[in-house]
Amino acid sequence: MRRLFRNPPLVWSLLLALVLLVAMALPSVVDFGDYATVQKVRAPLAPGEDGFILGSDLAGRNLLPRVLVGMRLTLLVGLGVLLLRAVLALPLGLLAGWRGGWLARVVSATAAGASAVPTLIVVALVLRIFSSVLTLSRPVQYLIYAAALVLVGLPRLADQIANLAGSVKNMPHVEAALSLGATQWRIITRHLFPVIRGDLLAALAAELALVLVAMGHMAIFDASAVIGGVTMVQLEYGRHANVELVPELGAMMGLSKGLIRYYWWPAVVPAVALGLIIACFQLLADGLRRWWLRRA
Amino acid sequence: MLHQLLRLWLGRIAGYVVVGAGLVLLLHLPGGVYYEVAGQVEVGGQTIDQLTIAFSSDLFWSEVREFGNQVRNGSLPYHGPNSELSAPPEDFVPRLKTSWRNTLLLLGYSAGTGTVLGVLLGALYAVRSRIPRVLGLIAATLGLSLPDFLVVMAGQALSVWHWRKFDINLWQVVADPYTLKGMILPVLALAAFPMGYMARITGAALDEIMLEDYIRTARAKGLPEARIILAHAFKNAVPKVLAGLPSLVSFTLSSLVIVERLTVWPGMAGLIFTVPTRLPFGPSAGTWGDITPQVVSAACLIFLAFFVLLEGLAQTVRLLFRGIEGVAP
Repeated sequence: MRRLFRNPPLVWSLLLALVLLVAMALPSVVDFGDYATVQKVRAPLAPGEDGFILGSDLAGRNLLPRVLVGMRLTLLVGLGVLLLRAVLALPLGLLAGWRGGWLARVVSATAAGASAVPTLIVVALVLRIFSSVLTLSRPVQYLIYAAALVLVGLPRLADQIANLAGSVKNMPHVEAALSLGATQWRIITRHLFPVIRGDLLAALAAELALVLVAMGHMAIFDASAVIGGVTMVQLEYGRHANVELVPELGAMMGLSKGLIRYYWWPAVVPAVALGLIIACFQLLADGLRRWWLRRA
Repeated sequence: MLHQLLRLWLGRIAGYVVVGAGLVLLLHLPGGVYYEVAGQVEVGGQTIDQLTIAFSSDLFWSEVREFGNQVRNGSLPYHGPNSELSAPPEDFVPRLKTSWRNTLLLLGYSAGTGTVLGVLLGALYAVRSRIPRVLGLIAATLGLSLPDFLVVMAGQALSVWHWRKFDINLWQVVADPYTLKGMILPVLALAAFPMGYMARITGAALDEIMLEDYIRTARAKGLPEARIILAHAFKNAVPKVLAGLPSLVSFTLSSLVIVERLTVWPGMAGLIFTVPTRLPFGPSAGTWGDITPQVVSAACLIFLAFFVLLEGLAQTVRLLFRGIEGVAP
């Protein structure tokens, strides 16, 4: 416990995680009424108006429960993307780190190449071009969105894991196992992986924060609307806006950003919620790194 | 060393050519799309043409060839939003040059401010007093944890609220960006990450160096703490700090597009994401509206060149300084 309190980022991240978990559980416990049906409104309600604590969105729906439910969905999508990235990067990185040679060079070159061009921006641009030329069906849109998020950070994560594994492979216990005739699989799973799992956990927490940032960036390029579908609403002074059907923080933020000078809350409140989740995982990664460093 | 540098730059040039060519081809894809009359249908008592979408590789390649010719001639003709189609097209190159300069200006201010602030905050890690260390840690964590879009949106919301409440505009949010006021919010948002990142790596490097024997000797000799940090510890932390430059450049340039898109800063990002959405048929046949695929392609190629050049330079600096890492004063 003393060690925990000497690690402020870990303490702050755990406290923030607790607050976020309680907030995400609220819509299942408290009755917020109907927050899914699109209402006909002249203008969204400001925070505190008519009993709406965070105001209403551009379609007149209660923003508080939508943001809380949106946090769940965004986190779920982020975790799914992270899982896919990890499933692909972990074996590749471990093998590249252990074997070295051409595989390690390919992984390292791909990571360097991916970091030498603004990959996410290229992906967002390609998505826009395709959607301007072709009418893509919903499953294809989902697939492109998920593939873009998974592939963008994959080479970097694989390279990071390869570097971690490479730093361990010359340790005496690995050499001893090798001289005792242990198989490659056994060395990787029993001798390499346990040594790097602490650093790996910290790297995965940081990676989740990066996935969520990438989701936020995709939302700025109007690409996250594929998650929940869109409908158009008419507002005062002839203004009209697209609103999301299923609450997802990126879509809520991205679709409302155009009207921020008139109604700031429908864009800023989801952005703050997404920022808090990102901050929580960044702090967690920092805290875990310190935790394992001190233990080592 | 020379071999490594050569490999680094050849790899980057090859990557630039491949990605650039791919983007140019993709951006001209809509140029090959056209509509054919497949038959006629009756809708509400009226007979109208039924159109089907088709793709012509000849049309597509002629668009690509036209772009090649325009690049060779150094001019990008386009019709402004209010100009007549019959009027001679304007040249987009002067506008492209202005946005290029604006992007460089924003990048220079924000990366410079962020790096200097970050290094100063990182130096606080080495101070033995608790309060500066905690302040440095908080600032670094905030800089790294807060995403760029949140900083911009929160800033815009604050400015709008302040404007309505007190009739004072904190910084330019919606109007003319060609002022210093219009630059404050983009610079704030873009400088946050470099600040946090530089503070973190400077702090980590100094933390390690402050435990070295020569620091203990300098303290034993009674040298002032500021001199120990600046003249002894900091000098040796420089190679480690420079090692973080490539990641810093990569993140900042990616962030630049987001910040430019969210604010009214007239840089390259606005041009890159003005992808043609109108198809070449009907009343607008033969025109792409305000921005043509050729203009977007040129903006993309310039931005990619920025990215590759700056990232390559940062990697070069890292490679050059790797040789002197760990040298005692």
